[in-house]
Amino acid sequence: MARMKFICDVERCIECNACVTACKNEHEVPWGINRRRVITVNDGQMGEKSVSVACMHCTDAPCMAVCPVNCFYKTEDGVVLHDKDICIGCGYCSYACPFDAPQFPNSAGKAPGESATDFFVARGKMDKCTYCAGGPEENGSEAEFEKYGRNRLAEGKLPLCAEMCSTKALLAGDAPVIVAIHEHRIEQRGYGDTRWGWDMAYGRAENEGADKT
Amino acid sequence: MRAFHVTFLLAALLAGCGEYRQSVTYEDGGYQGKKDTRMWDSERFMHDPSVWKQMVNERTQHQNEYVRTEPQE
Repeated sequence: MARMKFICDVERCIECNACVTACKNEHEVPWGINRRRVITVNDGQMGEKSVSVACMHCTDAPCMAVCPVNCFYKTEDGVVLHDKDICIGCGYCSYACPFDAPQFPNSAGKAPGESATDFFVARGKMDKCTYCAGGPEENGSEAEFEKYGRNRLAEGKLPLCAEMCSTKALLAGDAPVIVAIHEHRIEQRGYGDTRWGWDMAYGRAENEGADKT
Repeated sequence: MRAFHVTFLLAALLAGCGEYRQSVTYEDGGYQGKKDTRMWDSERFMHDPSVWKQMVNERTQHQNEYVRTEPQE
């Protein structure tokens, strides 16, 4: 089965924030929540690099491990999703996530006319990148859109952040396919491999024989 | 006075009987939420995961500019 992943090619990212804008627009994400954001290191200096970060849909997701109410699940194609009807907004996932992906709405960050969602606890129910795969509601339904955003994967499409990326720095798709695209780029650049932490995220599953390169 | 002490003691002891367990029972690993529909469970993909996967993989190649134009030597 497919294993859907993101790769952000830091050699290409130009910090245009098109991915952030595309995500917010596609899912009508409320104010104060950024499912995706661009982080820049050494800003304005030599060696400046930017990377677009959202939920990386971890193979061994720590948010799933720490959730006290077990609201997380992983789809057959490797996307980490959660049920907002079960989430209690405790924030454990936020502490566990190395990418700071879980977001918590509050009434102060709401757009005018929108109802507050902090009725349950001060932080509200968790919201995060769904890989444009919706959530545990009927695919393409209004309920799914209101809670989780659009379900592009069920339409045979990819996450809009990656499809909108102007430099194609952000790649989304089945891990072996996007790995092949990225490796071809590295060969074309001709200055060696700049990747780290590769095998854990994009290497073959253990039962297929791990790639030890 | 003694009757008051006995009544107070009994009331304090019996108050404990009204307590109930308030902690949530932790169930290891089991997803508690609703079942989700799979991506390919629609007429569009004829409920066939391979059809869905092929369409997604073809679309993934749109992110690869090298399939559109070969780089200049």
